[in-house]
Amino acid sequence: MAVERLKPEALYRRCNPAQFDFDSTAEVTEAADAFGQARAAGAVEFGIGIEREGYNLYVMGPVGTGKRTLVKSRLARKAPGEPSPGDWAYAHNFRQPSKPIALALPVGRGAALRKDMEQLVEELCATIPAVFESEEYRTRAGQIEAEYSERHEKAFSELGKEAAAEKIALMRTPAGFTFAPLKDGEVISAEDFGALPQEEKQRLEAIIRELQAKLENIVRNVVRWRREQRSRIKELNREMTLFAVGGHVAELKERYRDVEKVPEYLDMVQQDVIENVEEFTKAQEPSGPGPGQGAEAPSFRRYGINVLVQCEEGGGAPVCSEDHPTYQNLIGRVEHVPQFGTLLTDFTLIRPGALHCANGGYLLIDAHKLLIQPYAWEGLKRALSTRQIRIESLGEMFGLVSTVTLAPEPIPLDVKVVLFGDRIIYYLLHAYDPDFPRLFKVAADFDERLDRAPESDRVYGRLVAALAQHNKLAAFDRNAVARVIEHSARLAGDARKLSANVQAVSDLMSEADHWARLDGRERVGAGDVERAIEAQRGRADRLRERMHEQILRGTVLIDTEGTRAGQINGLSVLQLGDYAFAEPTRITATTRLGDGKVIDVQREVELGGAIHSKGVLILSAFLAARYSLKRPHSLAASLVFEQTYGLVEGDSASLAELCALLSSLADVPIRQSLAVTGSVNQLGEVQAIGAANEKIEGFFEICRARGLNGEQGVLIPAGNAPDLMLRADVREAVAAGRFHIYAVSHVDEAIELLTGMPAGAPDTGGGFAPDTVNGRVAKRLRDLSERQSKLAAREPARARVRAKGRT
Amino acid sequence: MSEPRTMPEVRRIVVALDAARIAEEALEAAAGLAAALQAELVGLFVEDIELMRTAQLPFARELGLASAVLRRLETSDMERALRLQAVHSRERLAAAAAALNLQWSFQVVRGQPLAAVFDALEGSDLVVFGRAGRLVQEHRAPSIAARGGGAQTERFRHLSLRPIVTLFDGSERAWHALAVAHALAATARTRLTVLVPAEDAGEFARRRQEARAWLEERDSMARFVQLLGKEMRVVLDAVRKERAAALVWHDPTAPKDRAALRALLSELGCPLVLVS
Repeated sequence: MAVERLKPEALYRRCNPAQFDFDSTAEVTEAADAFGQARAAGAVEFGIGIEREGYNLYVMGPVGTGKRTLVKSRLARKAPGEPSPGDWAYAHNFRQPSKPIALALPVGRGAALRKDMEQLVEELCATIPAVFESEEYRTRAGQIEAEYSERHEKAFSELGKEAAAEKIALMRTPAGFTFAPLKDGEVISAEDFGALPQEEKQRLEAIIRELQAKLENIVRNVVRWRREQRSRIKELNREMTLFAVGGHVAELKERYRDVEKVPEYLDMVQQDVIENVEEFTKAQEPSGPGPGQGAEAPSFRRYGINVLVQCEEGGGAPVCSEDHPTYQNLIGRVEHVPQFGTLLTDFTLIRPGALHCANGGYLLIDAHKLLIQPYAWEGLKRALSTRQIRIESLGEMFGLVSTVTLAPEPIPLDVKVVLFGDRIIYYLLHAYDPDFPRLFKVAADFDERLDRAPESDRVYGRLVAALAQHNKLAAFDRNAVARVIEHSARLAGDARKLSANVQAVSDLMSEADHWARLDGRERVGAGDVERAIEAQRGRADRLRERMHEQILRGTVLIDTEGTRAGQINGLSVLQLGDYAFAEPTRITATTRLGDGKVIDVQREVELGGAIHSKGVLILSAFLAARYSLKRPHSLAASLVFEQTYGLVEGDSASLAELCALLSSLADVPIRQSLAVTGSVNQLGEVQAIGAANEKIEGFFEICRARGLNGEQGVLIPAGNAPDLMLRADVREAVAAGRFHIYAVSHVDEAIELLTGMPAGAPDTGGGFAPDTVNGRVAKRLRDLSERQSKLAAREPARARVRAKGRT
Repeated sequence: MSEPRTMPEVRRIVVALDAARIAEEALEAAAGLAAALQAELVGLFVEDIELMRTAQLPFARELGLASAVLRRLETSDMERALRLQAVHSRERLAAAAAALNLQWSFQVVRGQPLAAVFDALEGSDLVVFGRAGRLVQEHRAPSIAARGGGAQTERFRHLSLRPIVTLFDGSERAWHALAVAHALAATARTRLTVLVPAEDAGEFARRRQEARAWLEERDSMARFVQLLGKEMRVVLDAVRKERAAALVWHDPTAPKDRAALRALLSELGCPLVLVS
């Protein structure tokens, strides 16, 4: 069962620079589009194309895979051809001031209406005073005034005359009126009055009581007359104001007769002007006082128009991105201003949200940002469900604040929302939020890896060119482009794939550009890309260096030569942010008589993850099924990841653990010059694992540091062989025969390679030849089983002796 | 023609004060004139002796103007009410004088209002009346008024809305009254209306021409209204028709005819500026 070493060309899949139809990216003019995301692109096309309720999109996939770019490019093609949704504005509701009216206006007419209303107020400020200063008004008002003055005058005059006839004066006091008898034209003194005969006094008092009763009646009438006078003056004012305002309003109504609700609104304006005409005759600035004072305040703000959304003619459907999707930024808000220690507002302080701006078009939001904002998700769902934008204050909703606020009329909503986010968010929302599947019926799933074929290399080359041009980088020559593509395959962790993480590729290119410019070159070459890759690695390499230093110093025990039974080099990967590296880990196994249990020390001390434990249980099952079919599995074994002090997770060491166990059982030493990675199933088949490149390079670096002796190498699952995109130094060592990589498919291949002893195939009875690893393992297990049986047979006799002793 | 070559020297302007709204307009007019003519402003509050006397009568009752409620009128209440009015009047006078940086003084006297004011006229050049003590007439123009602007207009918010009216018959005192009215109108930034008593159109045109020429020299203009007579009723009707902010009056007989003046004040409906 000879396992062949992988040839150098199998360790790396090159990108042939000759396949590009350009020498440098500067020659590429064709715009690159997302490729290899056909499923996601199709979903996006479908999602933005379908005009049905609930067909909003959730675009998912890893960061940097071009989700936004693709969606924006599709929308940039589609939205301009769609009709502009028109303007939205809020106006004062003269009937219910706390409920501003929403006005839907054709494109561009929101601003026009605002200007028209400003002009109307200006004109009324000039016209109304002129009307009230006119001779006609003065005369008619004077007539009314004169009529009532005469009425007052006559009433008081007649009463005064009646009193005077009795030699009694009608006098004004600080608070009202009084009567007093006169003597010689002056009010009689108390002494003189006292000196009058009793009959005279009684007569005067009776007359005064009678006059007082009449005066009381006059005063009551005066109140009524004043009310009548005010009413008539008001009616006159209405008539005159209507004359002043009617023409202007009629003109505006004609201008906006085709716009729903505006003529009705103008009627209300006219009525309000008539009822509050005094404000136009007072000396004040047109802007009036602060907001929130409602219809009672002498303010012209209420005749203004708050244009929330302004569209451009031919501008197409709006495409808006909301980077800070708070509840208020999405739904809009009503602002307040402090005035005399209280918070006031009016319709002019209504501010639009992203939904207003995107109404009639498309709104792009990051799902994570949306979900972490309090009530933003609920607000968005409510708007999409009701198809209305209803501005509500969060503080009001939850009773946190109690101040004057508004309840603006809801605005009909017709928007397609595109959420961008991780898959996990999509799945969680789908599972736990019953509204989500109803509102977001289209999912566009962006893959993090793309298939790599000659054609896709060429398309990727155009993408690299587009990135260079978009980011204003120096031109990349074809070798540099090829190197970028090769690195993309390395990022994908699979030579047959390319990374969809455009952001990572873009960053690498920017850094390569930097190095090229630093060297004074106008064109980026493969060397610059290589330097950028090395620099990236170097910047993140501190921890790897420290760990490798510990191994090389002997603090962490790793053998890279010699042989030893029950000891093997496993390979562990550490993921630190976006940087991953590997290091060898010594795994040891001990075996003894027991009850068939393999003790995973990592698990016992709760430093082993579930998947790792699963791997250990699988190899236990493999051992029992293969070697102890017909007898008790009387093995006790311990497996330890030596000198690890953190959590061990994953099953990629299960092959190494099984080999260590077999070595211990068979008492056959393992070559320490080899490291092993791979998982096994219950049948002993080796299964692919992740990060094969990093693991090989991790062991290679230790071996190289100690000196490559031509014996060292790494065993990887055969399933990982096509993934390899190894570094040049590893490939060179392999080519020189100083390092080796073996692809194994079965544990027998691995143990044979590790021990140099044939694994041994089972015969028809399930037995193995004695001079094979399997034969020795089977024999050891048989011995243990027999010993176990003997011990079990002795146990009843001992038990009887112990019982007898007690009696 | 007896056109004055210079503005008559005015050193002291007396304003008769009480708490009524019309007295506010009188105060505005007096303060405006004091500012225009650089004269001292003298506030005169007269505690009406007739009211005090009335309050001493055993059956005295007062009918509330706003409430129409009849209540007992006590001497002590009357005294307190008048003192309070005097305090308020002084405060208003002080505020008006401070706003225009005027020299001012305030006096409280007890007596018959008109007599007390006439007594104070000695040494004064102008006297400004609000209303007569027994005035029971009060009427106001509609609230609709012309727009204006600026601090000056705000300061003379009553005067600035309506015209200053004066009677011009070509006499020397009429010229003085015209000059005073012109100064007041200019200060309050309001219009000037000149009532011209004339039997015929020719006389009216001649006097109008004289006054207009005088005003034009001062870059001013006025509205001229012909009166067919100088009787008080005719003047009163004209003043009310013009909805005057103040009447500048020069009738030399007025100080001597208190009954006529009282009648005028009771029906005028606006402050009266009496040119002595």
